[in-house]
Amino acid sequence: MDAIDEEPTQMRGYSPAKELAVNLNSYNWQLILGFAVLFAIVFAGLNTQNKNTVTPVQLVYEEMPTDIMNAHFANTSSTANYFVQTTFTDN
Amino acid sequence: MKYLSLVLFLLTLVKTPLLADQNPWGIIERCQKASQNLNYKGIYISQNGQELKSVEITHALYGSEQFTRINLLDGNADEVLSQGKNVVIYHKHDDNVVIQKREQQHLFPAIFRGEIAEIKKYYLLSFGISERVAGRMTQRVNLIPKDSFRYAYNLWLDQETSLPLKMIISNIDKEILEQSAFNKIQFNTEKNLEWFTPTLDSSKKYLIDDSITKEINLNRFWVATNIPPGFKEVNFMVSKMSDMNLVRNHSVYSDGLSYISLFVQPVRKGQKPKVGDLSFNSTNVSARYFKGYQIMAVGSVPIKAVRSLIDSVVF
Repeated sequence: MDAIDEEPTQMRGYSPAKELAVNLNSYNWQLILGFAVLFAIVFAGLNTQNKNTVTPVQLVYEEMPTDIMNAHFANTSSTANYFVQTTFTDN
Repeated sequence: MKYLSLVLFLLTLVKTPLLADQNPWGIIERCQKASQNLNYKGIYISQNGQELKSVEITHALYGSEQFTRINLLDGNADEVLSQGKNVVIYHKHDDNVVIQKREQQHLFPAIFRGEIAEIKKYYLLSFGISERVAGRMTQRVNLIPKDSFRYAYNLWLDQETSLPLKMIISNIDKEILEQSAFNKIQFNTEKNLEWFTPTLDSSKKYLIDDSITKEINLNRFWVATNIPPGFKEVNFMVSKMSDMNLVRNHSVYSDGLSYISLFVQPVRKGQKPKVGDLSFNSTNVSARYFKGYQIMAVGSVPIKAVRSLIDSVVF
């Protein structure tokens, strides 16, 4: 009885392995999701202009975006040649 | 000369079958039905600015569905096959043929889309003299815009069938911007649908181009607060821009005859955004740069219409 009294008092049941595994998985997913969001933000930022530093230029015929004109004629033209002879360069 | 003028004046008063209708707009309704219901085959010439192209068209109503075949006779020998709302284009190149799907469009002579009642609100109807087009007598009908947001449409309608045989789009100064006119047409020539097949070339490779169908289901983040009067949105597409993980918003507005495209998209890296107005052939373009986005409107409408549309985009 004296030996039992000398043993430390246990506060609750012992089941460390299962709970720890569950906690680690949850933490990993949060970490992965966080990195994915950060990556997406950086990627989007690299593909767009910094709106505070870009100076627009006057629209001229030689620099008309071909993809925009193709998309317009493909969806609105009433003349067959304009409707047909456009090829999308986007996508 | 005096007598000639008198004779010409009296001729304009002669009632043709097309003009016998109590409802003057009935002629436009019959015109719309004719382009949908008649079986015909013909060749017409289409001019836009300096560009002139010949087109062969075959159209038939089979059952309740419309079948159309269009062959370009100048430049690349491209073909269009349309059944109902499904359109397939065969782009012919030296080594291959690229097959592309599109949505149904309002190609000449089937230029009227939707309800004629909408067109009445923004165009005045007037009649001109009878003239001969492609060997057939026609009645000239003019659709004059009531405001400065659209152009005038002048039509020559076949007196027997009401099919448009000629069309001229002109501006307020009566300058011709675009025109199409049959030089040869026959009715009820095709008794079956054997003609409704593409011209195949076994020496070429056939490729499917599905790039334009990658539409993305996203809510729009912008709104046009001041659309030109009479125009309403008839189509809205969100598609991915090539080489970028970004999307373009494309809205199409129409008053039943005229069309305006509105584009809202991010500016590509390395490119400068465009601003200002531009005119070429019958097309006007207006561009604006707003909060990092390129906003551009394109249409065969006066510059005032495209400019007012882009100025009204907010987000």
